[in-house]
Amino acid sequence: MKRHFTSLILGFVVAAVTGASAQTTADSSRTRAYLSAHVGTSGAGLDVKVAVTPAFGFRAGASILPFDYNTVMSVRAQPAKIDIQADFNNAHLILDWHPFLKEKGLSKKAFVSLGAGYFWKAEGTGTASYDGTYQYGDISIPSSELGELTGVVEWNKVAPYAGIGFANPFPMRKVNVSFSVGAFYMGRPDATLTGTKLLVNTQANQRQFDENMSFYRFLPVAQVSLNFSLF
Amino acid sequence: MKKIFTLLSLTFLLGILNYGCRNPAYQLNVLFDGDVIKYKTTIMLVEADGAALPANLKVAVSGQDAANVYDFAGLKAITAPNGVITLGIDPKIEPTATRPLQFNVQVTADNYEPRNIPVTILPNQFSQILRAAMLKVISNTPASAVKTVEVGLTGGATTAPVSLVTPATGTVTEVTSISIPAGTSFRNAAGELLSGGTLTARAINFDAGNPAALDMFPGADLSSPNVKGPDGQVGSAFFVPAGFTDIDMFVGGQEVKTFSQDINVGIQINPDFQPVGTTEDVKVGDKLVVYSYQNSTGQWQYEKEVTVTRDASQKLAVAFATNHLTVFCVGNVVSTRNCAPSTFTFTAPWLGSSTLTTAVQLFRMDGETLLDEETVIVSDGRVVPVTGLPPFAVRYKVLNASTRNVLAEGTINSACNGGNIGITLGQPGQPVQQVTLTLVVSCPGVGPIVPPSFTLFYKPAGAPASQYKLLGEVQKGMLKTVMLTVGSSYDFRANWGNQTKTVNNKTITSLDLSTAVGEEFDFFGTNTPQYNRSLLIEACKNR
Repeated sequence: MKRHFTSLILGFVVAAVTGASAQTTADSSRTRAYLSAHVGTSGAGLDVKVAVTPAFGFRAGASILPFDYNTVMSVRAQPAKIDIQADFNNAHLILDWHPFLKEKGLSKKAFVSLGAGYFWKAEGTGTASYDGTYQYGDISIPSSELGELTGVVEWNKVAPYAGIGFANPFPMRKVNVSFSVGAFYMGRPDATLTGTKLLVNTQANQRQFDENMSFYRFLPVAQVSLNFSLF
Repeated sequence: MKKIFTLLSLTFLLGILNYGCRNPAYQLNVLFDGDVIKYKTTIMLVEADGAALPANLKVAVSGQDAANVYDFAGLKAITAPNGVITLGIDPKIEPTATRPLQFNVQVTADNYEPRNIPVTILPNQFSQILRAAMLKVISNTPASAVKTVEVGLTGGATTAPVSLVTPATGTVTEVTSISIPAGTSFRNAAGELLSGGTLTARAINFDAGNPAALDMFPGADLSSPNVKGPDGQVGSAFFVPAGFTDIDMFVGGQEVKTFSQDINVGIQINPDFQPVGTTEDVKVGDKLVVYSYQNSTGQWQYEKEVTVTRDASQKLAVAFATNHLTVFCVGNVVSTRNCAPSTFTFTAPWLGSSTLTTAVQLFRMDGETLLDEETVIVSDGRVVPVTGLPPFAVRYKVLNASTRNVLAEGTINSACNGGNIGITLGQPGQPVQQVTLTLVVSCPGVGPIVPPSFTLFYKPAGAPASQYKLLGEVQKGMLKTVMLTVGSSYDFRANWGNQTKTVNNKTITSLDLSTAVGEEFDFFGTNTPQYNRSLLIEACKNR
């Protein structure tokens, strides 16, 4: 997987270099560097975007995504209080390629992205506790005495990124907007589930939780960027 | 190219969305540990004469912590199926060093002496096993002799002196004699004069020198947490009986509690009794004390000091007058109010991770006079909190409860001072087999659950039910024991609530036996599949 990813990156670099000579110089007045503020599903952050050629550019920046969610839901007919906290904080370097520069309209703005992110924090913690009174025979046990299940999920630190988007390759204005969607491939996470008090026996749930979380290998990205021309 | 780009983009997006769509809580079960009860006490009742226990045993709990007492299934209605009472404390309640949990368990049955068993639970005393005998009031046992007389009354009073003497039997050679003066009338517990034409008087004399009498001593053993001493203060004390007797009288179907005038009681005492602090047998002129016991309250009360004499039959005896009825104990009573609980720590590396049911016996320093026998499930390194030890030096023995082989013995010089008493169990000559029994319970629509802990009894396959012995505690569905042998067949019995489950003629085919119980598994045992299913539904309730 690592080798394939490296090959792809190299391919893009080669294409960028060769593509550069093929571009026209009619757009010499276009902006070549931006400071970009973005917000989206992967959080909010800042990028510095540099257009190496009209077709190729790269962005380097960082995003942070603090997440806190509380709800009461039914887990297999049991009312459960759910508290989820997650942090996805990354620094990334992404190469953007505009393959349709000769087209008109929206197609001209389409770009493909490849890159990678370093997540100094990529983890989530979920706590579930029974929201009610548990009846054991004639004994009523309040939720505070029942304990809670805590699931901790940790993903890889380094994650490749792929995506698509739309941005004006020849912006003339100082400020413009771009849009991108994609995903970081986070790999299979390490998922652990522990319980306290009367929920301490979690062997069966641990296996199921690990399997459930194995589906969460991508961090989807859908973000809007506000780009400020630097020069 | 554009179409390919569009198609790839859509596929890419749909793929990611679909891949991450699994609910993190998919098929997760919020399954509460079945082992809700943290502090457990098991009371094993036996019939004093070895017969089958009556089916109509009634159990009630009283005392300061009674409100927090349930059975292992969490039910307030406590029963005694097969003579086994399971008691569990509300998991929200914890005993402390200064405030142990205390309550009394009253057991009654028609034609049986009522029992009032005090229970004390110390911090970390998660499990304890008590034993008490139910005594049929109309028949003798090897350790007791009973005599009943009926006397006509006039105007609710005796017209002539009434004499009642318990019989001397082959095993109970001492007797209790009662003399009721003429003109005595009788009152109930409320102090009301009883009117009736007939007085029924019954006395049961116990052989205090017979270890079997220990199971019949009021309470669960010779220690009691509820003793009103000569100073009027109530606290714990340890009894060393030279004799004890239970006297009951009835007029017009009502129990007599007091008399209009004193009656005379003579109790012949165990001639081998050695007063506390001496190593010589009791003799004429020795001073002993008399305590009375109220079964309804479970309280002992100091009555008086008596002097040992020789009675008309030249036996050592004490005589005293009393105006009320109850159980009377004569001997030595030593206060344990200032005693601190101790712990036994068992060392037995040869047990591995298995358990062994033992009988821990305490003797006086003569090594012969049994003071107490407790059933204790031990494992290597297990620490067992102990209360109720006597405030004098004792010898102890630890026996394999099944084979009665001695595993350890020694001396406890200061049992009352608290602290830890280390006991190393000797390894048997033959290698032990560690047999694991695992019970997997799969609830319909839920899957495997952790079953609650319960006590498991066993006997050789086909043996009479009276031979059921405690095998151990099944914790979280597993019991590992050295008490079973591969190749042998056993009958197993467990109780849950008021239900009993038996598995007969189960052969131990390997060291690791697992049994699965669930809808999709075969049902086993001697009960019908419907009965097994009902047990399963009970175990799976609220899960």
